[in-house]
Order: sequence, then C-alpha cells, then structure tokens
Amino acid sequence: MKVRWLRTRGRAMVPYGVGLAVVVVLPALLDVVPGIAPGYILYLVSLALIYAIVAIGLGLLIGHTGQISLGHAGFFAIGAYASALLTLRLGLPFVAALLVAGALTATIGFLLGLPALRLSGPYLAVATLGFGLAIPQLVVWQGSWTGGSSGLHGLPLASLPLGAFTIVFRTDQDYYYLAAAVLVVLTIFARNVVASHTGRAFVAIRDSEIAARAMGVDLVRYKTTAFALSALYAGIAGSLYAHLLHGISPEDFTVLLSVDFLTMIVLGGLGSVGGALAGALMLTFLQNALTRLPVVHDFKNLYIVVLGAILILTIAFLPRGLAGIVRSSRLRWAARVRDGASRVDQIIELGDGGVPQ
Amino acid sequence: MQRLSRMQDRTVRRVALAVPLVVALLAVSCGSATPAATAAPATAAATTTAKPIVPGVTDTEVVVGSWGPQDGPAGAYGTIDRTLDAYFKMINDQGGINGRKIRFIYENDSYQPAKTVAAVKKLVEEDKVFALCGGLGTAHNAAVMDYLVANNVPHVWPATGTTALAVPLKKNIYAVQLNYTTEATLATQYALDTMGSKQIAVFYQNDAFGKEGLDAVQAELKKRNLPAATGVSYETADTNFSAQALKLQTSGADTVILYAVPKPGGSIIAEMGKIGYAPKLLSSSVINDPSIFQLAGPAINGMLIEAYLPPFDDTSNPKIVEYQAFMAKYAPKEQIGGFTEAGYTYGQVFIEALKRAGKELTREGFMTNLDQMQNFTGSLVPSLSYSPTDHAGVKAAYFQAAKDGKFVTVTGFITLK
Repeated sequence: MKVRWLRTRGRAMVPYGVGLAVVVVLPALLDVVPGIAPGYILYLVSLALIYAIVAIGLGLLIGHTGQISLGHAGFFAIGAYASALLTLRLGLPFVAALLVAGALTATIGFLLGLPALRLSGPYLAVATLGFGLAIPQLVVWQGSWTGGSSGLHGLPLASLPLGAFTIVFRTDQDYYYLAAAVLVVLTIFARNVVASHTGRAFVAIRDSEIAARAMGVDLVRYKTTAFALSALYAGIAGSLYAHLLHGISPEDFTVLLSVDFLTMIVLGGLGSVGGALAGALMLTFLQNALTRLPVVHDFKNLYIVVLGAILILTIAFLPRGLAGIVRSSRLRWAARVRDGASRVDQIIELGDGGVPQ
Repeated sequence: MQRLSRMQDRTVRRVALAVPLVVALLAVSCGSATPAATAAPATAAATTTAKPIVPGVTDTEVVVGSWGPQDGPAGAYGTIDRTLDAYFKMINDQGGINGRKIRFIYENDSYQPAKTVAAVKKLVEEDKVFALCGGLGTAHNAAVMDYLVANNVPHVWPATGTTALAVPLKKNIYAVQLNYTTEATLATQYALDTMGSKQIAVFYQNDAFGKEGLDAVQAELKKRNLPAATGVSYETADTNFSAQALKLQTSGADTVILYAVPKPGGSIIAEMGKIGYAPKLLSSSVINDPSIFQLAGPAINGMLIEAYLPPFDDTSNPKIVEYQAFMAKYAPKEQIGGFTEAGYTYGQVFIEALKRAGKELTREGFMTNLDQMQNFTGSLVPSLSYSPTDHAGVKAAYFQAAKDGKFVTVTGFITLK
C-alpha cells in the first residue's frame, strides 16, 4: 500500500528525506567549519525558512490559482502583530498565539478574496498592493495598542508544551529547528493540497476561468480558498518572524518585502511548491551573501546591481525558475531511459515548448 | 510526454527536487566561509597571546562595528557610517590608538530590522567586534538591544533620539544624542524663564515620539506647580489640521510647543496663521527639514528649534574648521551637513573612550573609563558626561530661530536646570 501511495499520488518523499537530513545535520556542520558563527548563519537560515513559508503560500495563490498578490507583507504583518499582541498583552502561550494568528490571517485572506473575485491581472495587483501599503499605516494609526511606529518589543521566548515538559526555544539553533519543523509540515500540506481536487480546481481556474466554470468548478469557493490558504501561510510565518526577532515594528513590513516574496516564487518557478521553497532560500541567501562583495571604487551598493543581474539572467535562461532545471533534467533523464540517448535533444525541444505541468 | 514511465518520472523528480534545497543550504554555509579568511588572522593572533582573550582586540588592532542603511528609502543616513569610516582611517594614519589600528566594519541593513539583527549577529559572533559605534534607527536599536545587553557588547552612540536606550540604564549602551525628553524639558524651561510664557499648549504626534515630548512638558510644569499644558494630537495619516488649529487657539495658550514631523508641523503653523492665531512657537528638532518653510509660510518666522551639534557652516568655530578640513581630506565625496557632522562626532567620542581605556584594553575597562568621563570638551558636542548611573549623554542644546527660509542661531548652549 505504501509503495503504491508513493508512486501513484506522486508524493516526492525522497527529496524531503534528503532535505530533512540536511536540516538536521546543518548545525553540526556549521560547528566544524572554522571562522564562521553558527548562530548568525542559523538565524539567517531561520529567516529564509520563514520567508519560504510565505513563498509556498504565495505560490499556491499566484503559481497555481493564477491570482496575483503584491500585498503579502500585509498578511505577514497581521500574523506577526496578532502573535506579538496575544503573547505580550494577553499572555497567551506561543503555540496558541501562532494558531490564532494563522486563523485570523486566513479569515482576512478570505475576506480580501471576495473583492478579488471581480478583479484580475493588473487590477488585482494594484488592489492587493493597496492592502499591503495600508497595514503598516493602520498599525501606526492604532499606536496606543500596537506600539505605533516604535513597534512591540521584548516578546517572550517561543515554547512548546509537551505533556509534563515544555520545550523552550532559547538559542538560534532551537529556533532554527522550530522554523524548519513548521516549514516541513506546511510543505507537505501544500503538496497535498496541490495533488487534491482543490489543487486541480486551482490550476483549472488559472488556465481558464470560463472552462473551469463550465466544468463545474465553483469560482467563488476556490478563489477565496486560495486567498485564505495563502494568507494562512503568511500569518503563521509572521508569527514565527515576530518571535524570531523578539520584536516587530512597521519598518519590518514595507512594500519591498511583498516584492521580495513575489521575486522568490518567480525565481523558484511558478506552480511548484519545491520551487517556491528554493526561491526563498536562494533570494535570502543572495541578499545577504552579496553584501559581502568587495567594495569596488567606493561603490558600496554594487551588490544590488549584481543581485539584479542574477535575477535577470535567471529569468532569461530559466523562465520556469529553479524548478525548471529540475523539470528539464527529469525529462532528459526519462527520455534517455525510454528511447536511448539519440532522441534526447528532440524530447527536450518538445518539453521546453510544452505547457507547464 | 504522458508515456514516460511513471515510476522513473517520480523518482527523478524526487531526487531532483532535493537539489535546490541542498544547494541552497550548502551555499549558505559555504558563502559565509568566505570572509572567514579575513577574520582568521585576527583570531589566531588573539589566541597566541597569553593575556585573556578580549573579542576584537589584539596588540595591533581593535575591531569596531556599526550598522545603518546604505540603500533604500533611508539610504541618505548611510553617509554617517561612511564618515565614521573615514574618521577611523584618519586616526589610523595618525598611528592608531595605544598602538592599535582600528578595523571598522559597517554593515548595510537597508533599514530593515530583520537585517539589523543579522548584521549585529555577524558583527558580534563572526567578526568578533570589540564594540559598536553609531548603530542607526529607533526600531533597529530596539530589535538588537536585548541581544547586545545579554552579550555585554559596548555600544557607543546609538543613532536615535529615543530615551528607551538610556532609561532604564543599560550597562553597555551609551546614548549620546539629545533625547526627546531632555529636548522638550529644555524647551519648556526656556519658554517659561526666558520667553515669559504663561500658558503652554503642545501639538504632538500620537505615538511614542510625540508622547515623550508631551510627557516631558507636563512633568516640567508639574514640578513648578503650574497648570498642565493643553495637548492637541494628530495622526500621521491626517491631512487637514484646521480643527487642531482651532483647538490650540481656544486653549488660550500664548506658547505652542510642537512635537511633529515636518509635514504636519508645517501645516499646523500655516493653519494657525490663517485663523490669525500667533502664539510663540518652539519645536523639536525633528521638524528641521528645508520643506518646512514652504509648508508653513510666513507664520513660521521666529519659531525656535533646538540643535545639539554646532552649526556645520559656522567657520568662526575652530572645531568646525577642523571638521571641514577633515571632510575635504578624508571624505571629499560626502556632503558637509548634519549627517556627516554627526558621524564625525561619533568618531571623536569613541576614540576618546578608546584612549582612556588604555593599553590593556578590555570591555569592562572601556566601560568603566567611559562611566568616568566628565565634561569632555574634545568633540563637537560642547560638553559630554557619563556616570555609572547615567548614560543619557548630551544634555545641552542651543536655539535657532526661523528667519526668511532658514534657521539662524540665536542663543549659546543651554543646559537643564
């Protein structure tokens, strides 16, 4: 039964096994590399993993359902503020705050999905952009309980009660494992959604709303579901973010962050859960690693130009993002197995010209 | 395509999907190994000496860190760190301090707190800085404050006016910049004692910044058993200020103190002018932006603002002549002005603290000596004092008055009573 489940439903368990192994050994690996600070690297990786959660959720909305959002920093902010306020002001445990933050953000996502039913393409982009811009302003306006422009600080450590024991995530390494665990769960969940009838309805809406409706896909239901689901991911990620930094301010949630999220999923490859994950890790890594380029002729911001060039080259040569590399190598390999090496080039040509899976 | 073997198809996908993850994770660990090459000699040298290891200190070098935006909407602040870098270069050209050259590492956080935390972790854990100087931003300082306290890393002159860094006292954080409480108290004292004000109103931004100003005014009035000031607030989203102007007029105040950013500040002054209400005006230095004169119109003439660094263009001041000569030689690309003046001053204070800490440099020794700094006059700040119980720094300011499109100095330095 298990083997059949693996094959027929297409759950790629092997990469997650490998990924999980890397996640587990990374801290030990960092300890033996000389000259680096594991805490700093693990903080950065945790941040990348949290962004990856948002990217996976955004990928479900943009990549699978074809509904654009330029306002995901807004959902991210709502999750972060909800979690921070619940733990700081009401003394709720971390896990409860995380769940409530996720549920609240999902509800707001659902509500934002309603007007989005009438909008598409650039109009939806502008509407969601407005949402993303408005949230930090609302936070500042309601300064008496949100902390205003100075933000909320001194959040309690994240903890997880397990029967008689309570795990407290004290160090950078602890928190890294927490972020990784949440990401693993949410990645598997996203893969399941994509493989389910809901996922197929998303793709049908993306490819043609009229055809999808003709086939009996309820547009209202599935579009709002996609928004709610996507917001849920951003909300949970926001909650993790707030507790990673132990504090937040409106400065954290600028429109640039929404653009970063969009860049991540395009870089990774639209319509692929693994791609969103890879794109988030890659962009966060590039943004931080490239600032270490040597300063040439006093041009301190050379890294931004290099980052831009890398993005342009990636989009130009990998229109399907990082996931596209995976796809073409899969086709190449499969073709070689079936037909022998002589027909590989032909198959690749067909494959690249075809429709996305 | 559908005729490809399903099993092979899945297997390849499974293996291949793992590649980006593995590559990315490995890349993160490898990428961070690059600067290790530069950091390694310092660590090696530190371990070979028999003395206790002090982070970032060898016999020939001391590592100092900072952070601030070098790009993005707040990128203009970047000149502060660049000026500080130039200042340390000058010190190194002069032979360094106590035989040590300064290696200054300043990180770009793009004004994003998440990047500030990353930058500070890198500086402290990887570059092993001895101390920080001039880390910029209110939210950004708040994001790393607990971490710096827990790791006991001295931070001299965080570039923000928030009082939260100095009150309650943090052993390792030395605020310098005139904070909003001191600024508002000085304004109140000057209004009551020198300008002969009888009744004060405060126009303030409804957030931590504005309320800190209002609270300081009320505290000073209460101390003198005078009736409380009328507070009239605004929200940053407000665009029409006629209601607030009327409220200020009906309060009957003869003096209005402003804790507002340039746009609302300028607008309220213009509105008060329109309804013929002309109280004496004092304002927080936050309002100091060239756009203010156009926004406020002629009603702004005579308004007083505070400043704690001497005017950067006053060439009759020998300290300013020295600053301008430094800028010409070491930072010719940076602009003479408030930001570079601040960066230059941070450097002066930090170097003085380093000098006083002596040849046997430790963090404890550095902080103990800084705690004993009394009336230090060697920087652009006229006088600077610390004690083990007070790390608030600057407490003196002078007043400038708005006159025909610019601010002109009207008083000497004034201290709290």
